[in-house]
Amino acid sequence: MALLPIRFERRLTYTRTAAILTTILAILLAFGAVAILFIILGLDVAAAFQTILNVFITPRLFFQAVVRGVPITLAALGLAIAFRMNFWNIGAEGQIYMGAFASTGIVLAHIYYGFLPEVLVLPTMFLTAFLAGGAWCLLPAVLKAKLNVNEILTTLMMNFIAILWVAYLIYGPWRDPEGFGFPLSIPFPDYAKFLFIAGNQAYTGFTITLIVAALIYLLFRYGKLGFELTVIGQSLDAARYAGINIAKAIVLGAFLSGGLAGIGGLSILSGIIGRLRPDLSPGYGYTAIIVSFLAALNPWLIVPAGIFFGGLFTAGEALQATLKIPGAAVEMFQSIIFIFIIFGEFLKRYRIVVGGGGSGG
Amino acid sequence: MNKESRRKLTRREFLGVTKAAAVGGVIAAGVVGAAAGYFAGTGAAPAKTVTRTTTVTQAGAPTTITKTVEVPAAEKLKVGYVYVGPVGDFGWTYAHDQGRQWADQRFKNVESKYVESVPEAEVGGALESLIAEGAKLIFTTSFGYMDATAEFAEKNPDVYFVHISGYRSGAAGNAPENMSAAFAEFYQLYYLNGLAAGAVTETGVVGYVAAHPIPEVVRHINAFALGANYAYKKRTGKNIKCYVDWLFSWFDPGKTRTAAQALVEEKNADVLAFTEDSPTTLQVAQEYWEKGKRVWSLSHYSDMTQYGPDAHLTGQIVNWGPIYLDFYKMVATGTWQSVDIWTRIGDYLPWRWRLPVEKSTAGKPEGTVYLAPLNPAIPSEWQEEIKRRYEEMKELLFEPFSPEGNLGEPIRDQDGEVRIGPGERADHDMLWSMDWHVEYVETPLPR
Amino acid sequence: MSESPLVLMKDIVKRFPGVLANDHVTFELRRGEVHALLGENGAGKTTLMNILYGLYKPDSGEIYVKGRKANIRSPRDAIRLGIGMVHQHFRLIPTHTVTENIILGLKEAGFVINYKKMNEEIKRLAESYGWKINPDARMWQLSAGEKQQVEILKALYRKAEILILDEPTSVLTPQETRALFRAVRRMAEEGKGVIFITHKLEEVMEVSDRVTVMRKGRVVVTKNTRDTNPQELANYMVGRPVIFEIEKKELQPGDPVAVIKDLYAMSDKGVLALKGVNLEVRRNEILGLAGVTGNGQVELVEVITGLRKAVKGRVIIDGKDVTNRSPREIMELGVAYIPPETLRWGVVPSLRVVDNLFLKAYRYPPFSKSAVIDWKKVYEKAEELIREFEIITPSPFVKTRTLSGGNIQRLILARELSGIIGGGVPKLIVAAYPTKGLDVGATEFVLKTLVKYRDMGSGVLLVSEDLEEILRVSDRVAVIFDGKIMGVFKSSEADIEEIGLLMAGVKEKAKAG
Repeated sequence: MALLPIRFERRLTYTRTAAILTTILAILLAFGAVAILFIILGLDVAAAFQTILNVFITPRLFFQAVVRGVPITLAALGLAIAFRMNFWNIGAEGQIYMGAFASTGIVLAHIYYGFLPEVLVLPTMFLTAFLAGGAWCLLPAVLKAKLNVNEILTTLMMNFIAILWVAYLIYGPWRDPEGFGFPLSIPFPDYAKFLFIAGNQAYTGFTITLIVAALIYLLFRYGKLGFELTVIGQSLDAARYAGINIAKAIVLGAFLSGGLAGIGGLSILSGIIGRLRPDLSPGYGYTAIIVSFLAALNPWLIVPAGIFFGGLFTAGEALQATLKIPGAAVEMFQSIIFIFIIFGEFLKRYRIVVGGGGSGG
Repeated sequence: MNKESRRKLTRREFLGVTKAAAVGGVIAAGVVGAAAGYFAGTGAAPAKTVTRTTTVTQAGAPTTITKTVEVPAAEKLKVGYVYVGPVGDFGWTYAHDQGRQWADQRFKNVESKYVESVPEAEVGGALESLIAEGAKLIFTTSFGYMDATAEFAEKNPDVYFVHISGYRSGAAGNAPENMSAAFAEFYQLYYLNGLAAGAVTETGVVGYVAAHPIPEVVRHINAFALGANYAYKKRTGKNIKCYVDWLFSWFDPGKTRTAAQALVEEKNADVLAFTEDSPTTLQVAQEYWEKGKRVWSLSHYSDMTQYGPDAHLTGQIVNWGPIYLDFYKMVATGTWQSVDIWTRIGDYLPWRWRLPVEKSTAGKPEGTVYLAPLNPAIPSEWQEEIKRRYEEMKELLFEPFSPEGNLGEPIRDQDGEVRIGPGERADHDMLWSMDWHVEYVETPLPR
Repeated sequence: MSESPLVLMKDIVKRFPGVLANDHVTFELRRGEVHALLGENGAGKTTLMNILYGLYKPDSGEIYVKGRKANIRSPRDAIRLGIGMVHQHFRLIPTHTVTENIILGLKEAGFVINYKKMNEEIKRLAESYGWKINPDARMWQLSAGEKQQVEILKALYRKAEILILDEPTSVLTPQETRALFRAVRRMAEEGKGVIFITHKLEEVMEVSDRVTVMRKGRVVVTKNTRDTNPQELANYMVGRPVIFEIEKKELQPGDPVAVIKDLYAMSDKGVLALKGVNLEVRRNEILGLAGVTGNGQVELVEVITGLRKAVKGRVIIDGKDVTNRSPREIMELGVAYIPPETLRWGVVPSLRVVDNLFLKAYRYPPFSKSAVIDWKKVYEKAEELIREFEIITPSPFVKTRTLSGGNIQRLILARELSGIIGGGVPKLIVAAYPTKGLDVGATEFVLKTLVKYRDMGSGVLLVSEDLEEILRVSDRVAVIFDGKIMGVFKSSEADIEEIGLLMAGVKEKAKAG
């Protein structure tokens, strides 16, 4: 017997309109709750919301939102592939680190051994970041496909390995010899960084996310692999029945998923930081999970959703800078929005039944 | 880095200065400038003319430049700060915020804002927000903000940036001219802490809970071990043993607690130094006191006596305020010059000559870095020794990283190799890239 | 005296998104009667009963129980009013004993449970209906029929006077069915009312006093059973006359297309489910596999189609040994497979009709080139298949879950048999419970289609729990029990009684047909 007369029932179906409305409602409610938080803190709610809005309409701040949104978006696009095939890749964070690791490797190899023309460095970085991120997702995928090992645990564990591996390199062999021993690689030369178009690297990152979103759209619209992944995600039994090579599809899908997160890692280094360092991602790989679901795994929606979250982070700083809101309150503001969005996603799948029911049968 | 700057040249030449080749904006130690700037800052009057005198070291030869500048009317100076932690961490960020308040109180005509808890890789949003708020001067107070600060300095030539604890600045030639660097240096204080530790230890073992294996922390550990050995060997004739427990984190009270306890329980340490942004280590030491075991620890960044009234030995304290105030004045008076500030004992004092031991200011607030109150449990002859060294360091008469700081012996590393031989002193570059431990440190340096 | 009926449901209306499940339904249950509720799947029978049991709330209408207006908001209310319901899927806890399951959630049981007394009561209750049940047995040890008895006992123990049985015979052997019918009659004699939901006409005729036929959410008719006949009921049910006989050409069976030799395989639970199966399916032949569900049928078809590994033995298709080959290899040899539990295996309900039509064929030319699917060709072919197999759907692009069971089965037939996978007529058709849960019209279509392909040269292995159906369309019948083939008969020579005994494992026939 439950203590509260509340149950959650799985929804059999939900319409697209209802889903969209739920998301919008969740976001509105989230901002409503944030308003209450601001009132409790004794803040000018209108000014606070104006500040948040400013992030999205002031070009310079919006570029910051985009710059931060790019790695989130890329990882979320990768996760969309994994989630569509019901592969719970929680390892985007680690895959981001591996992508960053691999792209730094190319920069260092180029600088110390000069084996590439400069124009080819960035494309090679893209390739290796993709391969490294993908490879990092490969082991969980193979374990899942062959031994049915739960990928949630393996991908999560792989995160820690990747983060520690980068930390090892940066405290050890990859430390900048002229950096006074600080845990940093040598700075990336300009040809290894995203182009500054009109003084801002947001354009480059944004273009990349659009291209990737288009590729994913095409993969699921026209690709055999996309079709197979969809079938696997919707019904593993039916996929087996249809003779789909599930192991192969899962491994391939996971590789793509991890690879895109790897490119996300590259975009952090080449687009934001400009060199390898520990703590290079403040949890972009986890934020990407929420983004992916908020956008209902639709690649075209992931791009704005990722930038929206990039904007939320930027809004946090803008709120502090403008209204002197304490950092902890800003974290609460972000968390409230996260929670409401997650709860909205939950409500799309479950309905709450108050009272009634009981032990009937 | 062969270009560097000094706050001040002292009568005995400091080894590092001889190597300092090029520019390096050095502001004449406060008196004239401070007075002028203060005057300018407080002025609610219409535009007026202010004279600022600046001593600049150029190719080793000090010259004095006198500038006459137009000071704009009562417009408030807008200043932004970016903090890596929460202001309530009672550690690094707390110290910076105390410094901000200190400077604000004295400058008065200023509006300062800060953004706290900004991840190091993500400083862009905070900087854009502060710039959007009209900040003219921005302090970024974590090493990890260095590259982004330089990038923003490039993009915003009309805004002035000061980065704390890094090595990029216009003065150093690896950043735009509107970027300065500043750092308050603790290694001298750690040497004095070491003297206190060596004076009170009964086990001959001291411990160090350390954050990240970067040169700053490495030289602090080394200075602490050297000082502890100096006192302990003089007392007993035996070498001190120093064990280090690495956290790989700047702020982690949980891990710190475990590390501190491990140093006491497993290594038998009875003095614990630390580089971590919380008073946890001191609290752990106090808990041992309450259980009847004498374990000592120190203050870090601010006076932490309240966290361990019995266990508190002394410690290193910083006041960033004078440094910040200096930059306020520069920006307000239009006398900006990119500098690379590295303050030690004796800097930012009204005068910097040493005092006799009985009048020593050791243990009292002054300048930017100073010693926390000395616990009376430190034997009086060692209190005197600490005070004597403190006063000597005001004039840079004494350098811990020299045979003089090591009972006349050359300083050897863990492999027994001589790193600082007879007649030598560590210079700025050696200190800033220190990647070896002195022989008294038992724990190998992680690589 | 004019006694008020046990249950009167008046003008019940229940809407689901897009469906009017109950359209002003009025239904009456009298004391001492067995009332059959007959209708095709989706006619609204179960919805109506779920309303009575408090699982759904009607949009409008009134319910009277024993003459008094009742507001049934939950099964708890229903139980209090003396209503018990036995669902198609049992809701028992496998690791609990019979008694524990029966008293679960029972308030009167209190905190201190007198097991001995209860065991005694339950045993006596069961015996009064001619059932032998050990109250200490754990649920997982019981057969499907026994589990059903426990479900019924659970309701009766709660003093249910109104008992709803939802398709109770679908899991039973003929013998168990007969035992159930005896118990049901006995309950009616005691003055209880029994509502018997079914879509099988013979059962209606055999057990019920009155019958209410529903179609598309409405009540078509309520009649005394003795005043009607199966043909008439079937017409009420589908709204048009149904041809029961399936025309079948006399054909000489050809060479074996599938040979199964001494096959052993494990079930999902890791116990041996097939224990040395030997079978042969020949060209131009339908081999019916009769047996109570859960005796290895599913494991057998899965091993044949490559979805399950054989531990021992061989599967030879068209002369090639395909034992433990991948489903795809076997499929490409010309094996069509109509799987059981259509919504789990056969289709992906959340995908579009066209996606499910091409669930297998998407990877073959001309529907795809290298890594890219040619949707234009797929759509064209899909339209064609929808026409050819009479799939009723608003468009090829609606979600498959919106289709009725019959149309989903047609979709599967279209996919498996139309030749889009390998081209040509399938060599072997493995059809596992292809008519389960289908209405009369769809059942007829499925069986006719199987016969049609048999006539065209396919060998068909038809697995079904409906013995009548098997006898109607098969050329030969094999009976499976506990993972072994108990006997094989020519349909024309088969004796239902004997097959029933074989299905129950009581008797083993050496060899026949």
